[in-house]
Amino acid sequence: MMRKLLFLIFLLSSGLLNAQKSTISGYVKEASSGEGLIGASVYVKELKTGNVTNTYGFYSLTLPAGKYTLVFSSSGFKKREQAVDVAAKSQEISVELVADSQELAEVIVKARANDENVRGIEMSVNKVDIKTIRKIPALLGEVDLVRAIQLLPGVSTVGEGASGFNVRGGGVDQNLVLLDDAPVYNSSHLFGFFSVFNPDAVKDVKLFKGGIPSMYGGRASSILDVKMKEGNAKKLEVNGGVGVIFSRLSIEAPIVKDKASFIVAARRSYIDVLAKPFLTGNNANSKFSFYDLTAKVNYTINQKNTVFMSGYFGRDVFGTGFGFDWGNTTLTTRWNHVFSNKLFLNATAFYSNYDYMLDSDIENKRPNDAFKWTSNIENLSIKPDFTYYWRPDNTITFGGQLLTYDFTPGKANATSNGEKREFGQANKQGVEASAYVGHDWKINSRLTIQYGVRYSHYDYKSLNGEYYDRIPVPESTENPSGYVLKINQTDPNAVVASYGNWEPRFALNVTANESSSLKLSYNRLVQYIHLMSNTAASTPLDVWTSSTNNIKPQIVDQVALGLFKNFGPDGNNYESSIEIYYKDMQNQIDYADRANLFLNPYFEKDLLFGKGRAYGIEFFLKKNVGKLTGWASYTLARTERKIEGLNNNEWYANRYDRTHTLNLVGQYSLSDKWSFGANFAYITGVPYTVPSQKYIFDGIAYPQTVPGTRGNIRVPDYHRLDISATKKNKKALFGKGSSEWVFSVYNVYNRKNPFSIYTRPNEDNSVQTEAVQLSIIGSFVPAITYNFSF
Amino acid sequence: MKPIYLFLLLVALSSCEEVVTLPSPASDHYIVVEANLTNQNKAQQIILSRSQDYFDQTAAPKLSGAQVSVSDSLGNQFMFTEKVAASGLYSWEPTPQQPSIGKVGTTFTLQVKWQNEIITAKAKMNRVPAIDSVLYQYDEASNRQAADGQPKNGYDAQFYARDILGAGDCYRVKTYRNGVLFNDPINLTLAYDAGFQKGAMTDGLMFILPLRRSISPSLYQENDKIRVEIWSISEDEFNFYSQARLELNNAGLFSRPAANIPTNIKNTNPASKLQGTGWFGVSAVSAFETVVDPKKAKTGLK
Repeated sequence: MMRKLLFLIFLLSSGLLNAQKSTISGYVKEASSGEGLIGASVYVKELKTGNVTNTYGFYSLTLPAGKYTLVFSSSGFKKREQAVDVAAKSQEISVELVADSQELAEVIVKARANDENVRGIEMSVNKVDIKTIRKIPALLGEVDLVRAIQLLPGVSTVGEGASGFNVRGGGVDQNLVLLDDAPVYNSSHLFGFFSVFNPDAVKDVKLFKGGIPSMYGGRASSILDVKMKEGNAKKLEVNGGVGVIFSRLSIEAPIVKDKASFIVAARRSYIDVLAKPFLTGNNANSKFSFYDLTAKVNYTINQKNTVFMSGYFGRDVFGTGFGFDWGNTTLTTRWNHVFSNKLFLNATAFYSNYDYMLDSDIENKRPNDAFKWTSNIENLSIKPDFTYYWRPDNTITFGGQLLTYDFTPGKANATSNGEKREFGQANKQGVEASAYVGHDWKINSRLTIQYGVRYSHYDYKSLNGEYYDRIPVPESTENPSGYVLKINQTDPNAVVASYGNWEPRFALNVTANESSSLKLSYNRLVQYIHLMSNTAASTPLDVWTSSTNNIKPQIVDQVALGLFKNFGPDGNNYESSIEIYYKDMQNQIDYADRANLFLNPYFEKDLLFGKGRAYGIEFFLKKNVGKLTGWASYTLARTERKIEGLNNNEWYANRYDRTHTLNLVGQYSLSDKWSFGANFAYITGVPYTVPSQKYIFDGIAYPQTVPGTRGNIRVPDYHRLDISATKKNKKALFGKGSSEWVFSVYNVYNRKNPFSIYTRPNEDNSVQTEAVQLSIIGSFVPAITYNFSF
Repeated sequence: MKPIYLFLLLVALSSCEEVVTLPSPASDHYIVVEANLTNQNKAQQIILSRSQDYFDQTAAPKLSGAQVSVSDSLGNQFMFTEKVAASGLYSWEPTPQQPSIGKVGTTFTLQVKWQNEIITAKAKMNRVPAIDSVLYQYDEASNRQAADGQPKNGYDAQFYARDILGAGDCYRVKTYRNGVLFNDPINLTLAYDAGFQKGAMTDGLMFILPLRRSISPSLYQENDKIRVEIWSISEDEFNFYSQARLELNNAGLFSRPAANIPTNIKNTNPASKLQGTGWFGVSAVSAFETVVDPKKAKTGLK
């Protein structure tokens, strides 16, 4: 593959070079910290053309010889103009942009918002500024990235406290959550209450819901691309905060000024520390904490070479005598190399691991009667991504990825009365290799297209050589799925199943005028790994499993059409969009009654397969400038599946199906000192199944569910208002820097929002039945947070 | 799975539950058979009733006037006659010639004729291990045992029994305090070999610790009589009770989609509007009884 790529580079750099033109390239950075600016515009006044910087702040423009004025701009920064004389030789021009009066920019976004949302090829993409996320009132005052993106159109969850999120009717396992290019398998602390991303270490967040470029692949629904800060290259910066749940501290500083810098950010929950004095007896040794550590270093070797290394380590720990902990680890190394001013390489190598451990006896008090269970999924990958800036109106991207998966789905050791037994699932291995090419082409001032294709190939190995054939049998109490497994044996190194898929991608932008455009996109995404989860909210114990000869890769096709318009006195005061989408999902997985997904080598017997579909319309209106900023989004959507062997083989709504979702997010800056935030959410309740009949057995009312009644009721609608007030202080600790107090109230009007409805026998009279509505957060939640920076 | 419940407890700090009123979904009714026959020398009972709409709180309608019989693979037939005083309750009394309905290894067939419906079911009586002992120690109540109204201090008991060698034995453990069965949905205790589930490789082991401790849902006091019974059940019946337990305790953040509890009760007419549900089971039972005596309490059991 590498040889082919090099040949392509050669072809591009030799055949397409033009003697009369030459290239200007360089980096656009933030003046105060030296961080690369993502998506900054580089505009050539005379030619009325330009480009934007990539993820690393790099840009490249190839222009005919002549004298030009380059205009560098980015939202929230002062414009900068630079004269340039393009001669035969290519030039490097790197600039630093100064924030639009530090304080003002913080308080009132005054800079003219760019019209990238209308002009750009991207659709179904949401960029959320970390500064905006910080202003959204948060649960217990903890600024949270995943909770913030749940306020965007097309994003929902199965309920409060559930981990992960659902994008346009896709499952939680269908989101590729990337932290500096490394996948994060469980993005939650404490089930789903807080996400694993430390806001002090995050630079940029981008969510792709559709129109996904060919450089991304591996999950069927969305890409959440989180980029970490590089660390201040100019001066020492310390940020921190004390909240109700976490205490945070981050330090960033130059190692060699303007050349190398680092950031280290840590968070730890401290309920356990506060609770310690109140725990007695059996609970005295209780542990419950969660923490994470994020770190990054970068080194600019010269104008052509920059290296980055970043890592994340987070864990949730629970236990009283027994222990349970889980967490993610990622490590990413990147090398940015500029080959010829026109060809940019980002080579990434990463490691990612998600693991959990359950131990009935962490203190080793009863080794004769113990139970220990471990599980993990591990990735190693290399990923070269090339961008060839052919001409200002033509950019070609290409690259590939080699990704290995090592699955340890679950190993258990059980000891009873001194006798030890081991059981669980055998280790498995997967290798995903992919290559892609994409072309962004501004055909004229009205028409832009982006097209490309990705080819992905997956090999599955069962490391003990065992693999299974599903043999259909009549459904019975013993075989509720209607299948039994025939066990086959092969060479442990043999590839048991192999899949290859072409993933075409296409996007089109027809610009009607300065302020409005119509966009169309189609993409196919293929996913080779699957999260085995049969519970309402995914649990930390859920196991990621490989595609096998029985489990086919999930394939999702999506078509989306969108109308984008900006308006207001300055042209761009308001951004608005309407998007409709339709998704067809193949090889969706569901579970037979009594499916046993944990520690069961034969779980493939318990799976059921089918198809899914999702469709919807999303409205989005955003106000970018002024004292009052914010957005309103409304989504009307449906997501359903049809599984062979479930619900009489009829379509039924997914348990995260939400008909209406309305989100209002507002931020108001009163003065330099005070600012306020509020958000309101209104969401249709999820479907649930209530039994139709009851019968008395052993003196208890047993429920009888009738086939074909899946999702026969809806949980009542969810709605909630949160507010916050922020008071900025001129001084922080020891008279240095700045600080702020954030006061927030979550669920202001104290609504008991239902998570689910379930039925049960009455506790005092078990032949009587009742329906119970469960609210995960049953009251309003006030909080105070103190943040400082110096 | 015990840790999970503890986390739920943590989450429960802020969560809340409210009883709400819902209409019952409309559906056909079922003929319900409740039959847990044993090899014990005492009256055996079968209850016939009709299912109700889920939120119907009236007494379950009993099915009276049925012909109920059980036959075994050796050619014996046992007639169950309806009690005059209790409609829907059919029973068979042992005689000196027939002290019990049978022995381990025998297969039994149930036949019920009620109005125009003929209901059948089959079950085999499986083997059961003896209980070696029940031991207890004085202790504080654990989180699980410290429900409202339960003693904070007392005797925490365990039973000791070893699964019979050969994989696939299934059991139900029943516990009585002073003659009263612990019969809340959470007290439903099932074993697959000596562990919780199939595939856990616990064949031939001493019942694992959580099972041994399952007989103390709350702490015992001095002079309490503890009776522990192990009932042999078939793997199908294990699946029936497992699913029932899941459905009866299916709450919270990690609930599963509602699923049907399986049944071995069949209407010979599959087109009838009244299909069968419930369970026909035959069990061999072993039991152990002890009276809590502080002088016999052990230490270091936990």
